[in-house]
Amino acid sequence: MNPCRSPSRRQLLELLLSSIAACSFCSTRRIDLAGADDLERTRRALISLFSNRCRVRAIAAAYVGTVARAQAAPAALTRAISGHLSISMTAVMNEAAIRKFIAERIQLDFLYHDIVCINGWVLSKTEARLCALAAADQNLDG
Amino acid sequence: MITDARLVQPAGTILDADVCIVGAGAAGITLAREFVDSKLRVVLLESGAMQLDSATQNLYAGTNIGHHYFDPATCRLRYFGGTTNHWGGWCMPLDAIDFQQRADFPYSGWPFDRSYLEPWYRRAQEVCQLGPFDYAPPHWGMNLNKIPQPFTGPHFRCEILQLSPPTRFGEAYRTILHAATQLSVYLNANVVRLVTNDTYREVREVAVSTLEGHRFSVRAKVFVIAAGGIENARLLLSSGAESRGLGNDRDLVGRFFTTHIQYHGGEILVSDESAKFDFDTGPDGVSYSGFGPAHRFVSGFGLAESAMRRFSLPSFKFRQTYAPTPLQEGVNAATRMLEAKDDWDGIKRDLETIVRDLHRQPTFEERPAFSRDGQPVGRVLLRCQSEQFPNPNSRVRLGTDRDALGMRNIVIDWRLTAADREKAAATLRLFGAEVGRVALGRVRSWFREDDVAWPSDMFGDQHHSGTTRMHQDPAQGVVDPNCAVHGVANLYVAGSSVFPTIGGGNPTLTITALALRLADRIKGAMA
Repeated sequence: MNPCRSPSRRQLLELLLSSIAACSFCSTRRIDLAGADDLERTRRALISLFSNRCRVRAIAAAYVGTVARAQAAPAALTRAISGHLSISMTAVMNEAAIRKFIAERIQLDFLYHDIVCINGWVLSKTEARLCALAAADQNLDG
Repeated sequence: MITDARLVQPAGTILDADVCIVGAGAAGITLAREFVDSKLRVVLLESGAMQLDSATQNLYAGTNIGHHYFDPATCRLRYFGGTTNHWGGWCMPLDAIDFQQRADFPYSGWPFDRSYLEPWYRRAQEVCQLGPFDYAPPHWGMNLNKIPQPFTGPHFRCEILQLSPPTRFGEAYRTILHAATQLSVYLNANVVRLVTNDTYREVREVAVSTLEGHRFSVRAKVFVIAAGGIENARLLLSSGAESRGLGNDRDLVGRFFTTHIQYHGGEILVSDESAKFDFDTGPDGVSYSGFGPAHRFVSGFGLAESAMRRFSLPSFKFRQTYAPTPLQEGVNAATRMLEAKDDWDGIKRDLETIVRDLHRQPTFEERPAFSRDGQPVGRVLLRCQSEQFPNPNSRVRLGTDRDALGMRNIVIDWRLTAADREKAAATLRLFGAEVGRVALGRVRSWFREDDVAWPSDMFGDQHHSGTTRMHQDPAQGVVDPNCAVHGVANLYVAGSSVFPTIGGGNPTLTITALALRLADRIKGAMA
């Protein structure tokens, strides 16, 4: 089946999502240009969503096996998860905002069939990417 | 009158009738029943007797050479009442989309739409001893508000199937047929050949033989073969020109052998604590008295027509079955431990993390098991029924072996295509996305992405269809929209063999509706 994507509609929804997320910032931190620090901050914020990063390795390994190596790099995964939201924005989100953002992205993935089948399980790509990102972290003590 | 063909004396007798019906199953008995008050002389020929008899049943013997399929000798019943003697009674009309020609589905479409058939569907309800022709779940007391998404849209929808008692057509209508003065039912009467004129354009008589070798003929103005989805083709192929068969100028008889594809397609790991499956009637159904007398129905789910069009998918029906919790499976403890190691240490364990950490829902292990019928349920399995694409290479044909009457046995070459599998897998993925979208849980499809195999328990059911398919164009169908065999003046076919596409619903109600329509047609033509 061809994914039933309607890119323009999805883009619109993601822009709306971005606006909602931006409005959710609790931090008073000044929004700066995206750089390595922001990318790293976003990565950390994303992987911190998991209480035990060891317990996502099976999905991570399976997902990484389905994509090109470059797409499995932490930076690429971080950017892919952030989607249309700039890294500089995700970098300043608090945990609640990140959670809301991820939950909505996952819902959008399912809505637009941006899905991946891992051992038969139908998962959103955002979920799978998050697992891959978390499992790639050097410090897997959780 | 019901009599035994072995009493027809002497050998070589020719019985005269206006209408001769071959086969006393759902279609044949429905047809005959319509003539009980008619002045027309009707002969109904049934191969079997009132009970199953192994010698007669063995006339169904045949061979499978395609996809693994049921033994042809056991997947149908050859005695009065036919296969209704062991059917489950599940009834529903085909959906409107099942009748329509779809550009993305070769060979699809009926020559009329569902609304045209509805008057006969309504009458078929009574023949099958069902409630009114109403299949709207809320009208059967189902509260759609209590059914979790995504079972109520937009891509999937709740459906109901009405449960026939099930009507054993032979038992139910034996008395009325026996009492009819102008109707003669002959048991143990095996039609071995349709005898035509020299040009094969008109049937003159049918040659009948008993297993004991007693032979006679029935001459009639109109003949209807109603012997079943496989046997109808066998009779045509066994008649007419030796090398070609009757009504087979275009080599279509026996092709397009189609059935529903049954399998467990996957499972739902439910994470939504509030999800309840109490709405589900289970396979035994429940009784409902909202229409007056109590009628039984079962709930199920199907792909919505809008989704079928949008995603280019064939019909797909499914219902849930409920696997017990591990605790309940105490006797299988050792097996369970092995399964737990396989499942919970891998992807499922990671899903637990996703559910708990990303969605802030209790894990599958933590959430209290929901129960049905007082039994805790571990997971919900998806029992699926997919529509098979019409496929000219999926066929039945005559083999070289012969049965006790000298007729060539049937060879079943049931074939599925890659598209059949891919569309079924795509439907499971769509369902998985929907379950994820509404946060009911996660779905595991049992179609492997890296394989071309079906789920291991897949089988084709006994809904034999398509072998004498209906089409207005003789180049594309064996029978015309009135179920008359193209090119043969007085021969009709009744039964699911005329279905051009099988659709999603169980076929008996449609078989019955088409038989009623054919009876009206014949009565009108002979008035």
